[in-house]
Amino acid sequence: MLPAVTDNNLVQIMIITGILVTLLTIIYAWKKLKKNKIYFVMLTIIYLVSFIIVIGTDKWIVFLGGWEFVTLTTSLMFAWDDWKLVKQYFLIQFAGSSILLYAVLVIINNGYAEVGIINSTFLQNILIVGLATKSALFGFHFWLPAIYANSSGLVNAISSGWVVKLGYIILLKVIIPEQGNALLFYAGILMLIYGGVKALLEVKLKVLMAYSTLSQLGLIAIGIGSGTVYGYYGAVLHIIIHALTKTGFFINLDDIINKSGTQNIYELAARFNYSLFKIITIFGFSFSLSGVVFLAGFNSKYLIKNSLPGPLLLIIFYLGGLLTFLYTLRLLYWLFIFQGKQKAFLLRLNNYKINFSIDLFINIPILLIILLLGNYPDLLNYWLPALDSFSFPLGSGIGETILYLLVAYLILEKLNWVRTKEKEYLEIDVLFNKIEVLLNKIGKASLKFDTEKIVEHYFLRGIYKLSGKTHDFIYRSFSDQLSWIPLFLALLLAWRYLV
Amino acid sequence: MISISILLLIIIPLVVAFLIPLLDLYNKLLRRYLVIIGGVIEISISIYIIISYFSDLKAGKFFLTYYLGGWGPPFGINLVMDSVSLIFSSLISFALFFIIIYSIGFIGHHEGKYYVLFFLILGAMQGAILTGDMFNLYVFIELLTVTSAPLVAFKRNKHATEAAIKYMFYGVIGGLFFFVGVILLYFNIGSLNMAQLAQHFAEIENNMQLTIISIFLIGLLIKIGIFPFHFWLPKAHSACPSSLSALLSGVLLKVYLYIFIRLFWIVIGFEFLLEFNIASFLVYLALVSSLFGHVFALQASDIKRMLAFSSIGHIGMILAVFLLNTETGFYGGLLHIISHLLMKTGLFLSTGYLLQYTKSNHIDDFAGVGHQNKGIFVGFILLTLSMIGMPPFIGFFSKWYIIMAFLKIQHHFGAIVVVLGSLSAVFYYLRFIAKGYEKIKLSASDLKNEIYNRPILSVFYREKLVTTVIYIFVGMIILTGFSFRLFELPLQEGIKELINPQNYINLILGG
Amino acid sequence: MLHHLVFTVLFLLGLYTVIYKNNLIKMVIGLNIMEIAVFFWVIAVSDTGKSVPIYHLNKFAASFNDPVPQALTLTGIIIGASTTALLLTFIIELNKFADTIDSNKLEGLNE
Repeated sequence: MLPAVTDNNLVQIMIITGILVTLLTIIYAWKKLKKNKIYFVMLTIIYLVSFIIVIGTDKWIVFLGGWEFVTLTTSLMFAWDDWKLVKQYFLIQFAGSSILLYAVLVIINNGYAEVGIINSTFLQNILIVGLATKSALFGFHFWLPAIYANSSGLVNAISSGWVVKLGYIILLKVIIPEQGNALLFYAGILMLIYGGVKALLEVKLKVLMAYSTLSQLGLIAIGIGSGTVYGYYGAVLHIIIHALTKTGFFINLDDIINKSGTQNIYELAARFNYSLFKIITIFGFSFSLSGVVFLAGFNSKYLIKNSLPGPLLLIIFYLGGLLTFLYTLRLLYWLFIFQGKQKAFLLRLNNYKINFSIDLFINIPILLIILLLGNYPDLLNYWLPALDSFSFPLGSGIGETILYLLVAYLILEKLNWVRTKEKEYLEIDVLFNKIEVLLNKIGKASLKFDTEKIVEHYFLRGIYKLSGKTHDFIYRSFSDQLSWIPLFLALLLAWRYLV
Repeated sequence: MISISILLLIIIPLVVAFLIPLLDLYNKLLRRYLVIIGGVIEISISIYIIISYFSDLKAGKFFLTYYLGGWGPPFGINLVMDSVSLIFSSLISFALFFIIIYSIGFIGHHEGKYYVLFFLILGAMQGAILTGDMFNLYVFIELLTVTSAPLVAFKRNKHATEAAIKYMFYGVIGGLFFFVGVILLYFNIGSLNMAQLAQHFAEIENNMQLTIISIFLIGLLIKIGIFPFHFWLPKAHSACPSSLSALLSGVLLKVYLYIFIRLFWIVIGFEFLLEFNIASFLVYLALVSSLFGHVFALQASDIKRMLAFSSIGHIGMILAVFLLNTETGFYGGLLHIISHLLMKTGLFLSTGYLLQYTKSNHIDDFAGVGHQNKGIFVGFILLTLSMIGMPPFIGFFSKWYIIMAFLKIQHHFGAIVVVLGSLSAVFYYLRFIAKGYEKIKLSASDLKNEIYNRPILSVFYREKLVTTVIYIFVGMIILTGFSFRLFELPLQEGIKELINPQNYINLILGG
Repeated sequence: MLHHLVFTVLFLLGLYTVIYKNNLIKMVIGLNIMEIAVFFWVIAVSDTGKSVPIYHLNKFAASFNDPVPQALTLTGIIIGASTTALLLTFIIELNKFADTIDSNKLEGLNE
């Protein structure tokens, strides 16, 4: 029952990227973890095999099997942080894959026996909703910040770097490049803007990165949904580049957070002693994310930008691009510049220490790939021959980048680099709390804020209470239970006159 | 083809059952060997049947029969084994063999009575599956009730005795309805042979047909434990020793399902259920029952009760998917019968092991169990993963085909119930798993309490046997998950028989 | 026609006793009434006013009653007796543990 891996070039490059990203994470895991690291590596290898199956197979049942396996293995990875996260993540993802199971079976029963192009928009939409939870589509993204805030960067790197992209890779196989999908397109625009704004206002580093992931996923969704070849290949390119960049980003940030002991971006600068190479790396990653010219992110953004139909959407897109610049510049500012003293930053530049495992094996390869792909996008021609037909105007890109940077700098200077108050709770907690307070309006009006408590309290206790009520309603005295028998007999005997 | 081996399937357990008290007079230690020999013989007969008639099975003409006393149909009682019965019969031999081995390590007291009743149940189950005579079927059903009730009360405490009384009340009423149904069939047709009844059922007057159908329905729905009649099930299945819970919940319910299938697809044609519009009503009833089962399982704080409620959920699901009367439906249903048998039996057996280390079945006492018994608890988790439909376990594939069957005929309610069921299963299993991994700190008074309240019989006679059986079941769900296509051949043959009952009639009556 | 009526009345009486009586022994008696109603009805219906079945001196009789329902009833009576005995045993046992046979006082029966 081995999955049939098609020799589709797209599938190949995706699998190669996935393996690369996962290997980088394994290197970091080997260095970072103290307990049971061999188990983690084994788990990661199972995860690796299962996502290869998910990407490569053309049988729906194998695809779904692999998908569930990805769910299982990634949730077990949270065990190195906290067992409660395993429980929560698994519940959310299993609910998501239940919808996916339903969607896939509807699709099969409409005559699409194999994973491939689906012509009906309705079925595409069903699949999109099915994939939504794992791919953090707008409306289903609620778990992303909540889970990332409490887990380590290692699992975040795997999740944000590759797992959330699996859904989009499937959509690449399903949606026709020339037609696109409106639902995906508009969801993407919403994600781009929403994620950008949230990231700009966020204080916690991990949550900021989670929202940044959301906005970048929005770009991918726009590309796939736009219905042009430009957008399609832009999305493919962006999946590859974002996977690499985010993995590297999360690994480095995790290193920083572990050493400094805080997630608050305003405090990081004071507590962490950056080396020169680390600064270069982080600058490289952030600029690639925001799409500075000569870095790989620029190319994919350029392609996606070219796919947009009207001027209005173009303006929105530019706004989204600006937001990306805003939040990355702000992040860089607060990461390195302690309480607005630029001089301190310059003093640090003579720390030439190199952290071998992270810098040598993870950062340098990623930086190299970003640079190479940024300047020679035709390197991928073997897998994506269509890239040859696009020309990337690096010259005009310089102007654009400078303009972006300038505007972003001015805005941020005006806004005093967006110094917001740290929110103690995520919006999902606030939402749950509001519902809980609404439900318990009489009696205890103010409940203590705590993600754990709220999930346990609202979800679990609510469900048990409800089922307990149902149980007590149905289970009455023994004689009541027995009297169902004559009732039912009478119903069946009179059936002929009832129907 | 006439073969005495199917008679042996019934006779051997009965012989073993009645030999046990005699052997006890001589030497009580020999009992365990006799029991194992009985199980081995039973399973080897099943294997013999499969191997020697495999070519028939492949050619699609597998059919064994035996005439008791040499009286051919329609006069005497005849035993019949077709592909559907083959699946069920060999599954039962297989499951019961392992439960017997488990019991040797698990049941430490009153073993003699236990095994006598156990083998009587085995014989009655094989009989109920293999018989081709309506009244004989009734006798076997009553035998199942009478022999399983004392085992439900086996623990001899208040809870167990109440459970047995409740079980008996429902069982006797169900059996009585079944008796009335058999008598009505006899009065209207004049025969008790299933094939002949099937041939002539259409000739009965319309009103009488409906009456017969509804009376049989009540009798069987009580036995299967579908929603308005499920009240006995969780209590009975949670009160008995775990090895017996595995038997009742994992195996016996499937026997009643088989009787339901045999009755409503072969004896009374399914077209009559369609004619009276009962079929779609029953589908919804079974689905509602399934939903209720899963919802009730959410609140159960007794782990065995939770598992029993989950059984209600799964059995309702299987019944509903059968009642769709489509090929995919039969395939999904039969596959899920196999997978649920393996999973639920394994779950109850592993729970039985874990509960030996706790004070009671309550969830609060379950804390820390996962740290004490690491291997078994991991097995328990794998079994629950299969239960909620995770690959590569067999539960995933059977769930897939069941939802497929519902969606193929655009029955969205059914598909949603199945999905919701597995979703709620995540909740109720996770609750126990999280509890099992909870760290416990014992204070001095707790420790005292722990020592004094420990069940006296928590010592296993052969702990190795118990754990081995559990690991075998865990291994089975993984193995069958990878190779569920192995069942393709008997399942497809069985489906052919269900779709074309005329074949069965012809083979028995020699048409 | 009369036996159908008697059967219905007896059966419903038995069902009523099972469902609405709280004394467990009375419930068992109700169960027995139901069984006996069925057995009575089977015998009554199968009696078509012909001669005694399978009786050697009777071989010249033109036709006789169907013996099968009587055989079935006999089996039914045996099963009924054994289930009743078993049930009563359980009730005795329960009385030892709970000191009551009132189903209202036995909360465990409702679960």
